[in-house]
Amino acid sequence: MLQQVQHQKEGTRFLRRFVEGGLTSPVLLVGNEGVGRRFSVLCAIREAFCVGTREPDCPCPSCYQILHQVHTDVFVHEAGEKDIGVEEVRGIIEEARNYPTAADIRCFVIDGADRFTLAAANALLKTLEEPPARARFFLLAESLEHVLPTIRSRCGGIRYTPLPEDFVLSELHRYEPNDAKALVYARMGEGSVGSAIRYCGSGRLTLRDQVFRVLQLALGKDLPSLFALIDTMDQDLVLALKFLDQVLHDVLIVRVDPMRVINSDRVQDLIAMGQTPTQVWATLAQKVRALRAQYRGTRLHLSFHLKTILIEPFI
Amino acid sequence: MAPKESSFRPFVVAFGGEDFFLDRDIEKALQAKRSVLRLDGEDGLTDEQLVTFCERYSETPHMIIVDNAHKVKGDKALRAFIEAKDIADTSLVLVVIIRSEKLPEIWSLASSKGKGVERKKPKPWETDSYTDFIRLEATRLRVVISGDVSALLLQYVGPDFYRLANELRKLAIYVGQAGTITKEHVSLVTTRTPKAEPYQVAEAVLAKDSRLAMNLFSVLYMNSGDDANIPVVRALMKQIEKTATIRSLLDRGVSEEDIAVLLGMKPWPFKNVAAPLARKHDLRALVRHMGRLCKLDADVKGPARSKRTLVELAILGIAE
Repeated sequence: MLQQVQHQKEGTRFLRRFVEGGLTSPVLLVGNEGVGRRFSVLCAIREAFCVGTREPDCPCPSCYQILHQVHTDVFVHEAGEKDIGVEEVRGIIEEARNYPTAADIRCFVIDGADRFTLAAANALLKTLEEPPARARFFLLAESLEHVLPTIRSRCGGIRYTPLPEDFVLSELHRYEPNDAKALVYARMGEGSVGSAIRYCGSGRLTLRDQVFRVLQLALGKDLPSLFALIDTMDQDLVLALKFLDQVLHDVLIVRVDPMRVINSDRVQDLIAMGQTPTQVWATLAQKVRALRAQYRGTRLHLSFHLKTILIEPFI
Repeated sequence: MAPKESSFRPFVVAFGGEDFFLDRDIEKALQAKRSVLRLDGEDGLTDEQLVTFCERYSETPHMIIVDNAHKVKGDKALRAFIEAKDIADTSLVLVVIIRSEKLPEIWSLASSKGKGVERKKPKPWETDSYTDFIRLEATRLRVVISGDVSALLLQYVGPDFYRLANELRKLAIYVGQAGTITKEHVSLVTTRTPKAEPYQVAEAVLAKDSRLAMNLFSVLYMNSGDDANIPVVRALMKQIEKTATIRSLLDRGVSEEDIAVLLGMKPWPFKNVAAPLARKHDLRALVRHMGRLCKLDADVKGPARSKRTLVELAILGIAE
């Protein structure tokens, strides 16, 4: 079943060892959301637990239960809006101490190893150091820097690379028949099929267009409209910040290499914005990137920060 | 002789934002000559559990008090129970306390079959509501208090029903039954609590009155400690953003009336408060202050030390 995983050779090789029973220590899989981390782990677990044909369409009870997330020995824990707290980790540790019921081992997939609270991460250390004999841990993280070093050192690391654009495009064509739009969504996904499909499904080009409008208003020094537009984005501000980062990247490279821009459907707008000195855009891009990094895990008043960095270069 | 009509109704629904009166409603219900069962919606109570309790206790005279009833999960079973309830059947009285300004539809239905009371929280400037309360409370405690003394007490204590009730109880003990509370009694017994709000600090900062701003901030700090930092920074952000918007529109030559309409403000406060504040600053300086506040926001929400000093420095920096 691991053969279903594409373009992640390192991950597949590592997980193959788990399927063959040669990997007992915890594993940390690092990569952007939607590049196949969870999919490949679940494929590996299915292959290890399978009592049937070991083919992707195997109808055996184990495969069916894992696919439908009802297998009693497979636990998938995901960080929601909040970080993973110590109580949740204690629950996982408690479960890990129990014997498996249907399979030979219990597998714990924790999606959000970079989103443990400090207390939660520390609570898990001892279990990761000496996992119960019949428990296997798979930790998934988007950013290695945000994983506690003591957790990193206790896990075997696998890095998942962004998926090739052609592959993302081919997957995306199932949902978006328009080639130009599909290309934009694929590039907006930055090598992640999951993100690209999600953006496509929720029509995120509208938000992207609002980001363009925000930049045009900042250029025109139209503070009231700019502030009002940013306020309307409200729930989508974090994503808008990502799109802003991408648009600024495009403004900086559009003259040099227009084929590489993410927002390939707005090249004319990008060229028009490129009339403003490059230094202004470069500084702005730097600040947006710094804000994105700073915002993670904090309660910053994002809309105010965004408004400030957008008007600072133009006033 | 016609039988005496029962004063009970099957449902008593009290809702609103003023906890003091809602707590009073609970106290009053507890004094009823009935067996009382207390439940709380915050404990994960479901409508099915509530209906089970109601049905179990409906044989004998009982009273069930449900606090935080807006947090009861589900309403299907409850709706059926309310709809089936006979208005004349008061063997069970369900007292519902909703600590929210909005009355959920299911409880609105219940109040239509019983009694509904709104416990609205008066705004701090609606002083009549507070002085009326002081007079009523004084009557309840069997003491006499005149209008100007009530106003003085409110000035000393602030718009807080819990504190007003407590201070009145102290005063009633001091003057004795049927005694009259005078201004001297108030000065003697009541501790004066200075009050300040984050928006007042922000307004003083924008008015460039650093002395007033610092005084208000220290009052806030005295009352709330470190918890005062974030609301003050938030208020400063809001005020500066608004001022920058007004200033940019003024710079473009938009008339004051149009700006007031654009910002949804009434003309008088705009002309006399907001516009003069905006004229005290130029747009560049305001943008610079926004940058400073961004840094401050990260500092007060992060692990920085001496957060109070950082806020004070920002206040002085902007107000200078």
